[in-house]
Amino acid sequence: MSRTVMFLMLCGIVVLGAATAYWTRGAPEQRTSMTRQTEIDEAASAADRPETLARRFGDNPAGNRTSGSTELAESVQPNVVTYKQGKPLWELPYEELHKHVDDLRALVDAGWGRAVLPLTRLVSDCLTRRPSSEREIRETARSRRARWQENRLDWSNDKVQRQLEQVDQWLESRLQESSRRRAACGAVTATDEDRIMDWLELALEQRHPEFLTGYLQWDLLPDNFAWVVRHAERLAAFNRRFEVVYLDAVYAGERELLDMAWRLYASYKVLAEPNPFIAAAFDHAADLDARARTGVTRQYPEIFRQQRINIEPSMVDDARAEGRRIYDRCCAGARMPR
Amino acid sequence: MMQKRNAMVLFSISIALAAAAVLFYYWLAPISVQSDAEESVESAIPATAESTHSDSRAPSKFAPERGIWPGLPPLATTVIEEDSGSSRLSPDSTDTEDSSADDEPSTLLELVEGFDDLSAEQRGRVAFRIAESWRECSMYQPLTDERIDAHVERRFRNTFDFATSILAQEPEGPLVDEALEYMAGVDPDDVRAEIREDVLRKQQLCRYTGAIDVREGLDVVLVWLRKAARLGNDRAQQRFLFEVFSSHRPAGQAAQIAEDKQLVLDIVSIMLQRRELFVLERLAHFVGEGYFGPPDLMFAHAYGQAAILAAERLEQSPWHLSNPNPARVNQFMTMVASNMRDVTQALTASQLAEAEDLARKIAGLEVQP
Repeated sequence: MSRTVMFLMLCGIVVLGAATAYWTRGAPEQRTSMTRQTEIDEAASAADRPETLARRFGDNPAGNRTSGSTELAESVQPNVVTYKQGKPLWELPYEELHKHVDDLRALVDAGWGRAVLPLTRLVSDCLTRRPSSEREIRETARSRRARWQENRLDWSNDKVQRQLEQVDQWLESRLQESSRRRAACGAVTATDEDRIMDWLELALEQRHPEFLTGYLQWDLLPDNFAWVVRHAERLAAFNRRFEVVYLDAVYAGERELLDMAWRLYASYKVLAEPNPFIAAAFDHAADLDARARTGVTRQYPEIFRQQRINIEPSMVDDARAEGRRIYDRCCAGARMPR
Repeated sequence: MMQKRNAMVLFSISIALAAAAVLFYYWLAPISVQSDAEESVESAIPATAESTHSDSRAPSKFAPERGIWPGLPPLATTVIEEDSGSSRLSPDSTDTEDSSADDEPSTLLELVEGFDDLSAEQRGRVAFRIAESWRECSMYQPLTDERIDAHVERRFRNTFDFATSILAQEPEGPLVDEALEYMAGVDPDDVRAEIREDVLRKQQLCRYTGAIDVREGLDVVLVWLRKAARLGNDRAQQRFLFEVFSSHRPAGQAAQIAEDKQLVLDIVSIMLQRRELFVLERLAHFVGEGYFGPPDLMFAHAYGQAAILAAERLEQSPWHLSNPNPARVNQFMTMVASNMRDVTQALTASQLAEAEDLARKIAGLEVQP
């Protein structure tokens, strides 16, 4: 083989080697960038999961005004209302929140679980009850006035006038309320209904006491059985987790949660069947706790609680003994500084 | 010279190989990555009812947006293959009333107490019978023998008053005349005898059970219906599909509702494979209400309309109805049409056209004029 041939073959091998090197160097880079993209995508989707959010906000729960206020403002777009009258949005009275459905949704999307309670109350209320139009309300008031003016009961003029004034007051208050509800319901989107579970799971993972008691107190789910069926799997997991989280908080000494624990066991909201015995036991534990602390009153009157717990008289003594044990476990030591 | 030419050829081949290698990487590698990505996306969409049920956040097995209920065989297929019987929900072999039913106990209490001693073949049918007996007994008020005659007379009077009030609301016409003629030909004593027989049967069936709270009773009905459906009883499965979501159940019972959804999917899959016509009406209901995904009225109409089309031409359609006598077929079509009225009115003209087109395909009649 001549020198020229050798030279040409060498050139060929070098070019081939260079191409191979380029391929083998380039390919991992490409694969790495693909892997990185996948990781980014996974991280992005993981960021939507409540666990991640719980971790993000776990040490510094959303709504902690001393350390979280800056974070609150920074975590959402500048056009989102986060504070009003010096309070985070979720601390405003419910009646004042109707203009802020979009803001609350943005806060929840940014991971602020404390906004879940007012948001789901507003959304599920809109999904359950269509707000009346001004015309409908005025029409109802007109027919009520007409009925009183007919005076079929043959009442005195004064009495009829008082009834007519009451109709006017009713009209005024209904117009205001329906105006607020229309503002809120106008901001509820078609996708909100199927996002309620996401929101509830987020708030549950963040374990805010206000949410835990609020879930027992208010109707946060749409009054629509098809919705319950559609989300049954997630709702079942939520219910199981809710009971665990709630009891953890009670035994960690959260007094407001102890006060409301009877509701957890006295309804079908979280459990498949009410358990009057456990409900009465928690109710008694909360009574003991309220008595031990001066100036503390229970949230619901006794007659209201008893009617709903509806325990058999023969089980009352055992339930009270169990309540004593619960109190000793959760709260008796709390009178000492901890 | 020859050597030079060989060298040039070898050099050209080397260059070509190198170029090919580079091109291979740039052209083919992205394609393989892309196809991997496509594959992963496809695998994320559950293709059959076999995907995991335990993952509560997994996508629904029902894909209304694709117009396919899991288990629905290719729409154009006309050959119905009977279920092989391998499924736990396969038809109960003793589903039809047989002579052994005569030997069964006549009270609800005895039926329940003896249930565990029954053979596996008998359980499905007896569980269904218990469910139906619970339904009857939950609406039954125990009667003493002395009060039976008075009760029969009251029921007879109520029946007569009801028929009279219904007829009074109807405008005069051939149907009313026909009904009046029929009523005139009925011997009141025969009606009383029938009512009496029914009262005595219930008295025997519900003996020892005492008064049952109606709500609690209906919960128990669902428990036995579920059991019978799981045991493969055909009638229980049909009834289960009608009753499982018929009454509101609270959110606390979500775990049971989730299990019921899975059972519904299993039953629907099997009935679709057997081309049971009535299941199309159920699909219309499920899809319209949004039990398995967001409500989709277009598909609800498609399933309902398919049920009507198939019922109109049972001979040509791959779907079948049990006991397809004209009265039953007519009753079925009337029921479906009545249930669909609101759905149809909510659709736009283009949605309606799309739904009708799909309905013909589902009914297996797309080749028919």
